[in-house]
Amino acid sequence: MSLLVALLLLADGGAAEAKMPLPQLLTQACASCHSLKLVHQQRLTEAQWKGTLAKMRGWGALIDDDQAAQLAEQLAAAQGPSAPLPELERVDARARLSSVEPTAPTLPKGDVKRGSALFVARCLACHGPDARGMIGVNLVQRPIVDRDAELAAFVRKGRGLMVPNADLTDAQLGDLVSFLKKLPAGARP
Amino acid sequence: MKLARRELLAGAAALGAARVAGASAPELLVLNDYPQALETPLEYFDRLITPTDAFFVRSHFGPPRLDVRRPLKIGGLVEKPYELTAAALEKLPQVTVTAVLQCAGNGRAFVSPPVPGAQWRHGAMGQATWTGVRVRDLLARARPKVTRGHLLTAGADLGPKPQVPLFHRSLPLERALHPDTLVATRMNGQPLPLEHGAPMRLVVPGWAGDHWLKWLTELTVSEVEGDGFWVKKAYRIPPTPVPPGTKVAPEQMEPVAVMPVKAVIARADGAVITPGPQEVVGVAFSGVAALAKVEVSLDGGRSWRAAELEGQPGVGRWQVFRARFEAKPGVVTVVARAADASGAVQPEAGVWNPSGYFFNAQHRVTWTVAA
Repeated sequence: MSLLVALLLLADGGAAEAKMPLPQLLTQACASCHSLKLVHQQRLTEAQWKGTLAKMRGWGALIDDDQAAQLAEQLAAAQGPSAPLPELERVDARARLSSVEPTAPTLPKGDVKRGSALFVARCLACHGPDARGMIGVNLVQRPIVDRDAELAAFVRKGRGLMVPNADLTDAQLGDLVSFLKKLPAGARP
Repeated sequence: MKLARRELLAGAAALGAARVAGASAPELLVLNDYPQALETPLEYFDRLITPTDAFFVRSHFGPPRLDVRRPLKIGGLVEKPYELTAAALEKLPQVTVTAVLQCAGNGRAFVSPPVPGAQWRHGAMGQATWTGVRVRDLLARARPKVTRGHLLTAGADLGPKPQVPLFHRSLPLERALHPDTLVATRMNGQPLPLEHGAPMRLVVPGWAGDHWLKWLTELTVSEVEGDGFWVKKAYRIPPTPVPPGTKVAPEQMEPVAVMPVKAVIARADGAVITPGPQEVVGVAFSGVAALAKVEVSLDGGRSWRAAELEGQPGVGRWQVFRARFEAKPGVVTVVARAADASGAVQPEAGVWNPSGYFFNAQHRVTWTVAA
């Protein structure tokens, strides 16, 4: 189902179709891989945006030519070279540093084979057969597999382009986590 | 208990100073949420060692899972490739160096005209002690077949999509064999936190942070420079300055390496200070040579005086500089200007380059002096 949604988002609907609102387009184009703060701190010309977007599309950003042109035009207008820098939020350092560190498990220890089957059924279509990313992002060697409460929460709720999977039980998520933990890192250059 | 007015004021000032200098819970400034990019607030640049919790955080993809048993493979043009874990490395003779780690893009926010990338202000830098084993000794065990060439370095972090090139660097072998180049397991005496490269990272004093590979997995001896996007296209800088805004092909640029001389004042532009005895405090360093001097101006650069330096001098090692003055009501424009032992002096304006690397213009701040 999520693959269909993604394909619909990418489909060229014809010249008369209204442009996607900017916030939605930014979520589709950028937010899977990195947060939008990185986008909103740039102060670039349209030409610089075109160059940056071309690089991002080469790295898997899911937008078509029209959407890239729209983004370059709108971002240059909203955040050109003379725009002010955003204020930086000041945060508790320990909280941020520990946000990638392992937490005590909350899910039952699962079965890798069942986890693999669940992955094929629910995740592979977007995250790719080796979980290295496709429409969805890389899942191999991610810190979140050691933070299972957090993983369970957003798999159930959905996030960005990822649809909710609210029906999954703790046992099923435990299987999924066991499977994800077993995934090997990809090839080195 | 009754306190004299002087004691109360001293106590209040100390409390205010403690808040300003981060003696309470350490804080960081957020450039990006994921992958995390966090910079150190300016007030921490009044001391020799940056507390680990207040140390800036930066990577292209965020950390991989914590895996304390993940091995480091040493190979390539060597007789005896081998691998070892952090636990094994900690049993070998340990060396500690004090060195500045700075992102090549620190200060990019001040580059004009702006360039793409994380818009760091002053805080993508810190100084810590780093403990580990000399790369020279680790390579000697493998018996390299060449004495000239490159050490290709790689870590365990993976990009968000398979099209994103894996992050790696290419370090000239001569630099890799320098006695201060380490594979470190400890930072400020404690095991590396995950965001700082646990269980092993590279330490290359004097060189920009892109070489200090985190979550280190491979050291590969090669006769030639590494290939791929991150070596051939990224992290490059024109050999001589170009007009601001110029497009330069990567092949016409050289890899970022040694950090130029730089000083940063530990109190922001726009601060309000009280009249009376005050100081200009900050940190200064160079990757080219040891720091030679820091001069401070209180009149926007018309006249200069030498600041006192604290701490040990060294290549890629910062010292604290301090200049005391009597603040009079009004406005004071303070500038710091560092010079290193090679004779290099910080320029007044930043040297523009297409990626905004190595911004090192003299730091200039204006303070209001008011009771």
